[in-house]
Amino acid sequence: MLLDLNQVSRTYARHQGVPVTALHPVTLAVGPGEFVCLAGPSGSGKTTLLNLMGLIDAPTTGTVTLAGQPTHCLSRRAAARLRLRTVGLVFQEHNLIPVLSAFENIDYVLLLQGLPARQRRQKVYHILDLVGLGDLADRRPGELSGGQQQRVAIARAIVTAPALILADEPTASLDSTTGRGVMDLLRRLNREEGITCVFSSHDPRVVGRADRVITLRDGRIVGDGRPAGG
Amino acid sequence: MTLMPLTLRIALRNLRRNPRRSFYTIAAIAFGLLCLLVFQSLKVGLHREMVASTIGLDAGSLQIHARGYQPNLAVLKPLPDPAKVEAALRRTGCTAFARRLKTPALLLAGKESSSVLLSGIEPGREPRVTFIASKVVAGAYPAAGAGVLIGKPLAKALEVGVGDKLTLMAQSAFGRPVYRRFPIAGIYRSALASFDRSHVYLSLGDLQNFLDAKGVVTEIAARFPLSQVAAKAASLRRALPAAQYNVSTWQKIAPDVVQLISLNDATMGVLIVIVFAIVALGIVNTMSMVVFERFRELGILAAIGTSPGRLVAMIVLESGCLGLLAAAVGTLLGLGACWWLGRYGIDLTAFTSHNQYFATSHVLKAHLLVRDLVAANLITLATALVGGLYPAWKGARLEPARAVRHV
Repeated sequence: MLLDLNQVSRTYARHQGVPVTALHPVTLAVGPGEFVCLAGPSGSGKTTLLNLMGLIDAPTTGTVTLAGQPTHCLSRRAAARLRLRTVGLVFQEHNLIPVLSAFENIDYVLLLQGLPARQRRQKVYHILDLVGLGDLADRRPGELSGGQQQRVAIARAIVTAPALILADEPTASLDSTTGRGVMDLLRRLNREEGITCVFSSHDPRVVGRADRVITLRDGRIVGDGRPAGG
Repeated sequence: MTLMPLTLRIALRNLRRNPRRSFYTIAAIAFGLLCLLVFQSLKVGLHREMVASTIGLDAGSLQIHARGYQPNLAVLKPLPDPAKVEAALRRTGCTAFARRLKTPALLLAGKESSSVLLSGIEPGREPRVTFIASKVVAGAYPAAGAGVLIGKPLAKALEVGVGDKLTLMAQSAFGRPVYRRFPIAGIYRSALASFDRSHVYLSLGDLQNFLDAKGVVTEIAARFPLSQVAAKAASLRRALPAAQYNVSTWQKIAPDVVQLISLNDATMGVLIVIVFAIVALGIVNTMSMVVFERFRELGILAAIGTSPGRLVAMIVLESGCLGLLAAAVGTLLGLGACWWLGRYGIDLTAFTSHNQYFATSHVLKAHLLVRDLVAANLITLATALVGGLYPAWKGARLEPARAVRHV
């Protein structure tokens, strides 16, 4: 399995120390090439579960194994390295570094990987063409539309050829046409590049495009299967 | 292109995101550097003036006496074999030295009298050691048989002028009281009134005759470049037997000057720490705001694989860029201020006319040393980098999941 979560829960200490459980213990696995949607209403624990899958949050209990590597003992630095190698992250909005151009935002993660300049340049332009933004490479995020920004974020997430893309409500801030374009892109990457995608949404049109839907409610998994009508 | 240039690009572009804040921060740091350069250069100017006054007024760079010599004693303590001392000085490469005979005396003019220190000097060689010859305002420097040179305040107090006669009373080499009338050959005025009232000069030969001390000198004063004094003194101490001679540098002759310089250095150190602590707090404040405003960006950077160390470097680099720009601005302003203060100075006559450390001039001029300029810039940069460290550390410790939720 690409991703294994075993009895993973997340509790936050809030309001004068009163703990709030965002995610009750869940156990699930995601295999290579899957196209998975985490569905559920706001506050159901989708983002918490995605954060735990992407190692940008640590579980209160349980263990996360990513690409065969147990992650509970990893330092911040080691976790960052594993993320860089294995995971591409797309957030709901404001994904990009505003002072960098579209090209530089994508180039940055390749720089972190230590790739030489020529190789990076080729990859960045290839990926920008793939997401249909080859002409906008020099624009900064403020000069791009919301949909274009999301596509740059997806380009950044996939440019390192990660095994897994985690996208937290990638269409939530977009109009329906642009949102559909973003989902088409993710689907194409899943089919053509074999990239595993796990994304969250509460939009039935987006949920319906997944091969597998994991439904959450109040921090618990209440369903795991093919989408209704799929 | 390596990662660092992109990190540098991010830092520089981030500085432009809030130009007003960056401007004020740079202005504050630059002002700190300007203060440091001005204070330091004025301090160096002050110390140079103090040392120049001490050396040029009377002390010279060093003096050689007979062992056991004490100044201001009426009983003469002759320097053994002055020619041997001069030979030793020549061997060290020194050409500016002069023999002296000093004794306390009482000066009488009509009903007025004043106790003075009488110095027998070599009129041809003394001006190469001290600057009194250049301060003669009437008459001439005392040649053999020409009479005495007295200070202007003393002449005014005694109501005498060039050509008038004075009576000097002293104790001869044999312990007998002696007195003689001398004409006033010249009048001098250093910038130090108290010195001028108490120091009287005449030629060495005349004083030896007056004191029945033929061939006797009590000291030889020499002048070297400041940087050579310690080495030359050590060389002379090796050449002259310690049982007979005492070699005293200006620092030993005027320990008060040395202490005052040390005190100034310590005070300046405290001042620098205070100024740069304020600057550092300003930087911490600015960079904390930067981190707070960019919670989400830092979270994104961490989430996409930036290591905590790289995040620290990114924020510290931004802080360092602030410091670097401020150092450039502060250096330019500081150089301008130091140039002006070096050329025109600050007139301190109202505060220093009776101060022994301002015997050559009452105008305090700045003197900026290259090493001080470099040190001040390094301190500024270090302050900027250290000031950025804490906010950077806080930024790098953000939980990415929490940070990306931040709006």
